Amino acid sequence: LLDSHGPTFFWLTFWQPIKMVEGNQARMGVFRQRLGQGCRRICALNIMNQTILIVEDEESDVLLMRLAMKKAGVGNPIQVAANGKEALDYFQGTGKFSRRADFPLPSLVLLDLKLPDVTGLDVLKWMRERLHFKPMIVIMLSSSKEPRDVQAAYRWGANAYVAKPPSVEKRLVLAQAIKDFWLGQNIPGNDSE
Amino acid sequence: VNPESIEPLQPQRLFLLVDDSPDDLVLLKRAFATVAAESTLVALESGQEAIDYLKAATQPGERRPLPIPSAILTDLKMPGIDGFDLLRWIRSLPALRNVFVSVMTGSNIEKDIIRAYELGANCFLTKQANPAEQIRQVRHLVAFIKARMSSEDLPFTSP
Repeated sequence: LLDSHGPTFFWLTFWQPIKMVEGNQARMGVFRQRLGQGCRRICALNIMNQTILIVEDEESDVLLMRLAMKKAGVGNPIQVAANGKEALDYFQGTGKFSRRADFPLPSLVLLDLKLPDVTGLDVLKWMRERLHFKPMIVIMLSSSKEPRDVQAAYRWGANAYVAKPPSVEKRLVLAQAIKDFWLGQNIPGNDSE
Repeated sequence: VNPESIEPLQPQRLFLLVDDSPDDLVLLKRAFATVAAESTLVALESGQEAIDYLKAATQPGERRPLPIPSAILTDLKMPGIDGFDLLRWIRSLPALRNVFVSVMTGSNIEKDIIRAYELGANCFLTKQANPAEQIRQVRHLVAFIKARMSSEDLPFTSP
């Protein structure tokens, strides 16, 4: 984290509390509170910099989701796997994803349910059967509202199942909810490398 | 099925809060009352009470005495049946597989975070001491709960 952000990161994080003490000779309690906020900001930034992996075979859906994420202010690096097979390659660091430095393990996966050959459910099963991928946050996205699909996704340990947003506005609502809740509040079970 | 809707089909949502600290419960209840006034809250002070409630709610038959919650927020460290035990018990019941379970704790010990996810927690939250921060947290949680689907939300399985 420090390597990639260097002095700017520290300046942003600690500038406020230090100013509080120097400029104001603030009471120690206030200082501690500020410092606490600074520490929380480190955690938040830490999560904000983690990779999101979109597994989606429809190129247009990827594009629209990227746009919505950008509009919602999601600054995380976004990687894409175009089908289930590619998602497994990504996780294992094989094929075109062999350089882990370029394709870090994600802390949030947006997984399409309906994919050719290796389906979203197959990918989810693969992940949940492996210790390292068990705590990874997986949000299933699908246009299917079949109770059977929803049930299966939850049974295999999806963190959430969301209907694919049908309009620009609803896509933005979802991107905002992902940003606020999953990237802002939730503590992921794995740190991306 | 109207494909236009990702809005909740049930306007009335029930949240089950489980925490052995009455103070934390009061703060949580206040946050929920602020951001989700239309929903129903059930606040319980132990894991055993939560299991008793959920047993009654998942009884087979047409007339269930108690509704199944949309989401459960549980503390981890509780005397007797703790959050981990409760989580394991919830996930052993197919009827509760869709229920969103959020673990809330004061300390983010990595081991606990991973264990909670492995036992089937949907998310992991840090307890917020600052009321404004807590209201924000609950607001974001409720907003996502509304965007997600569970098979109970689907019209053709609703009673």
